Amino acid sequence: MEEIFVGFMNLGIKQIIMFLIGGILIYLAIEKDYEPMLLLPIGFGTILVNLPLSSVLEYEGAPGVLKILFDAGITTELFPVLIFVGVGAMIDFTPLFVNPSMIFFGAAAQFGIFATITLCILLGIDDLKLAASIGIIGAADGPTAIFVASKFAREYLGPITVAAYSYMSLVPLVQPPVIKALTTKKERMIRMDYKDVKVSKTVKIVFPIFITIISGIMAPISVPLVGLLMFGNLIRECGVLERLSKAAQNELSNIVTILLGITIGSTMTADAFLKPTTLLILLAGLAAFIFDTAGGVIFVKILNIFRKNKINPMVGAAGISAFPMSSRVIQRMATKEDPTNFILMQAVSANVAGQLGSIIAGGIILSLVPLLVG
Amino acid sequence: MFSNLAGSSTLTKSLFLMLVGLAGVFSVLILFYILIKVLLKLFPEKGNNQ
Repeated sequence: MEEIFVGFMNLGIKQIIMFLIGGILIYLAIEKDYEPMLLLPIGFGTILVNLPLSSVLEYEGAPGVLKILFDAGITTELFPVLIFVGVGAMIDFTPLFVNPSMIFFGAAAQFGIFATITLCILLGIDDLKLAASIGIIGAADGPTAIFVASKFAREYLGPITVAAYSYMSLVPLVQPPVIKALTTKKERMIRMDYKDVKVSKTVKIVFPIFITIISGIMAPISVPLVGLLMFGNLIRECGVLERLSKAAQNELSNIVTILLGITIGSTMTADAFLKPTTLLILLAGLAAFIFDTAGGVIFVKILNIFRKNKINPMVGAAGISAFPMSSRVIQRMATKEDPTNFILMQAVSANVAGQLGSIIAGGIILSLVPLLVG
Repeated sequence: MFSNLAGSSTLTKSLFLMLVGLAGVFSVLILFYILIKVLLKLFPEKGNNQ
């Protein structure tokens, strides 16, 4: 008789809490539209993996389906890297070519990553690899966060991924109060000139190739990230691989996203998730986005001290990787202050630069942290 | 350079990471900036006044 009710016998309070967490993630995905492509599979994966005696991880000594996917796609880093091919095929670098100086905001807004690493250490995490994996949430770039966390803190991959995607979808709520706190109304009303420069096809084709070479030489460990992102971009820009470009943007991205989401959900076991560190990860992730925004805004304000043509400091906040959400938020804030002020193109340029900056920051962290830890 | 930090506290290492990391991101993106400028000069689109 006991064998019939074996599921009930092995159901504990921790599993029920995890069902609720999975349910909340599914609710946020469906009702609130918070990164549904990732949060829904993660939420469902959370439920799957916490079912009593769940066979998705192991069955009669053999690895279950989610364990097989984890070993094949996360342990090998295959899934996040394949996502980069799709992301690369979706990125249009033209706004950056039109406003190349905006690239520096893509660097300044990575401040949040490094500030959060230090914050984590101050809060008692005495493991630089774990702190770096939490700090990378500030990259505002899901695949980069997954890539770094899968190398440095695989046991916390679930909460780090959930935090990264949740805060990316919360950019419209997180950034405005930080920007308002750091800028005056006059600063938010600064207008910026925009020149409509045409960019040749040759530039768009040569750019991803050169970026790959430069990044590969500067930070060899970043090649899987930058290289495959730029490969996707080259497919997009070459003009002769439209079918492959669309496949990378749609079929490849969609299939890998499904597998990635549910596989990350498989790391959300009660024992791994219900820890004080998880709460710290969620709070530090929020701090990372706040520091990112502050870093970008303050950098522009410092530049403005020396510039004749002032830059709207809000554009600095768009230097995070959350594209195009951050640039839309900035334009909305600018329009609120002055309905005739359009800084969207400059914000988009900074936002595209942020996509480059975040993967470079990820590559640098992957290079430096092992050297520092020894 | 890294061997000097071997006995340092984790906080010191994290501050070093912040300094070198941000400098690294800026350095790489400065290179990208130069690359974009050079590419735009080498391969201008016909019709641009630059």
